[in-house]
Amino acid sequence: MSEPLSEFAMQPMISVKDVWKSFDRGRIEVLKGVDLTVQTGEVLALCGISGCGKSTLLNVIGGLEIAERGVVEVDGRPRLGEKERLQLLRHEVGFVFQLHQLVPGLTLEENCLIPAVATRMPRKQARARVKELADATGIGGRLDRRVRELSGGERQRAALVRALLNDPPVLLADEPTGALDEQNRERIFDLLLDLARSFRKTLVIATHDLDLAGRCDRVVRMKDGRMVVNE
Amino acid sequence: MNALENEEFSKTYSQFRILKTTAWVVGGCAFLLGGLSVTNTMILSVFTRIRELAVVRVCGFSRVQVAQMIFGESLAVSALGMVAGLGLSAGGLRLLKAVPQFQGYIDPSLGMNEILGALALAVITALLGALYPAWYAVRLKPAEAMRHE
Repeated sequence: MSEPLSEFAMQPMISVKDVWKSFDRGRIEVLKGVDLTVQTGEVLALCGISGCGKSTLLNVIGGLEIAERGVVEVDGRPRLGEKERLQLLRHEVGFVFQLHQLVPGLTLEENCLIPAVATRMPRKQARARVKELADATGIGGRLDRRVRELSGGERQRAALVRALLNDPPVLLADEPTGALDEQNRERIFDLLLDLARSFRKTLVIATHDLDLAGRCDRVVRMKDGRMVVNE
Repeated sequence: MNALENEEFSKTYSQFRILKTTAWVVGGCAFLLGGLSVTNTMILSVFTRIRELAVVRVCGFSRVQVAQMIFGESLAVSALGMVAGLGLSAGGLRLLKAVPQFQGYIDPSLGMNEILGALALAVITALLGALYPAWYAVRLKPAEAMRHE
């Protein structure tokens, strides 16, 4: 654990209690009674082999999947209805995926502005925010470029900008460095940690890279849909 | 022997009545085909952008916003079609006007009523044609759609 928890880590930002989730009409059980608490401002690594349930857990926390049983609370509130989940996606969580998931036909700036369109943020304010974040991530000079003109690292930086645009208190990163080469993997991971710490975000990173996970405040290991180690 | 005005003649002469009915039937078929074309275009547009639609949902777009996006695109496609159609019609009518044999039998003019009628049809076609694609798009589950190849 490279950095101690800071003083603002006082209350749980994410609380997951006895969460169950299955697919294919219950035939594939992915989460089997998961319990997890993440403090405000904490950087948590969720480790485990592919298929252990990391991504599903992130999706359940972020409102992209609905748990069949159990309680998921973000910032002290459960998100049961469509309206609450929309509020969660718009203002309280930002997602970063393994593949950047940028829209190919748009410029980098247009991609980063998508969350601002969803929340109807004034265009001028949104563009200023994109510029600020793009400068912070080192892609400030590339905003007018199309996705195909960018390198893998730049695309992932853009995905980070997009995730941070509406200033959500929680960042959920699903194998954010999984599709990058070694050099970019280190850089993007460091950038993610720096941004989370400097913007005071609660960050949950799903990764199977134990070296990178070791830089987080806490590591939680999952196996076969259950938490096995919490260190 | 009775002498009839051209307009009167065309109203009473049965062949002209058949022609008129045929024109309405052809017009109706064209409307139907136009609607199907819009539906086809929008279905293709949705199917090729499933991940993109998932991304906008993850970024906070509501189902209503996604539907607005699909209907908006459909309206834009129909508007383009309407402009092209009006242009072609205006050109066709000019040609008909130049044919001496048709003088007096048809009135090759494109007035405000025709333009408003075409506009109304284009809007109806766009909205009906986008119903299924929009329904499909709003029902996409973002987490699943994100994995779509």
